[in-house]
Amino acid sequence: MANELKKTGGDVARTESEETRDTGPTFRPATDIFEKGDVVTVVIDMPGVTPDSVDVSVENRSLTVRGTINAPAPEGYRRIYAEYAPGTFERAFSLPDTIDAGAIDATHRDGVLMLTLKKSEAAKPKQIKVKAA
Amino acid sequence: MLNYEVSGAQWDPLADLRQLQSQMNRMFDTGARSSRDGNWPPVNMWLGDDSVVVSAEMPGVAQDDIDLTVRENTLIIAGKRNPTTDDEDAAWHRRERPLGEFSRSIRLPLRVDPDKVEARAKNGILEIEMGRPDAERPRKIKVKAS
Repeated sequence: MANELKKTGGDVARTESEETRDTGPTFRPATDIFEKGDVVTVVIDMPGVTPDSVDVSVENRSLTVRGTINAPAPEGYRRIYAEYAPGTFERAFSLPDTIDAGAIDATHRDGVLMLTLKKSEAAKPKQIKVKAA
Repeated sequence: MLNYEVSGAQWDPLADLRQLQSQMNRMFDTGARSSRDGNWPPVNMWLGDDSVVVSAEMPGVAQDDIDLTVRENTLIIAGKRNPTTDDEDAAWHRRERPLGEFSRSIRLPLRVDPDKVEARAKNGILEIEMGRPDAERPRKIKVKAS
């Protein structure tokens, strides 16, 4: 049973519609956000989430990240103590107008999602030359 | 430190309650958690016939930065969480992820053999499987007809 879950867990989560899938409780993941130059980096802790089940979407200047924990129980073991539970990490951020929503890069490694956001060309300071009339 | 009793049935009626409590804490917590208070990383524990598994949520901790110590019935998970950037020019908007050194001591329900420890890390979850010493395994004794 546990083995079966391990093999098909990801596929089931992707194919089933959002309304019917049972993802358990929703958690708000701890997040770091920092800015350097014209790059804003968002770092989100999502332990137990496989890279292919992370969902990053932008709608109406709202950036939503979502990931369902896929950490099956060790085979042949029963749980005797628990401090964390399966569920879904979800968090939304509003993007300022200065961010180029079309140029967001996402990587996921060791249970950490890293988003790289770039400031849009329009938001960069521009020098306007004054011509002599 | 974990407190539980291993009864014959191995059923802990408070386990669900504690889990609910940790879920509630997680839902309402602001995310600002310190890794220094000895409660990080959060762990789950699983019991098998002759072994025990401790799994821990440790996102972003490289395998080389994890230090495991096993002695009799105690497991110590120690290590360090490195900052994403050490650039001093970076402007921080949010800083919620726990950082720095951590060490957590976990009492196991059985004594384990340090030679029978296997640790695997996957997607930020560390799974440590520990076996009971051979001498302490329960043995089946055949009853012979005399």
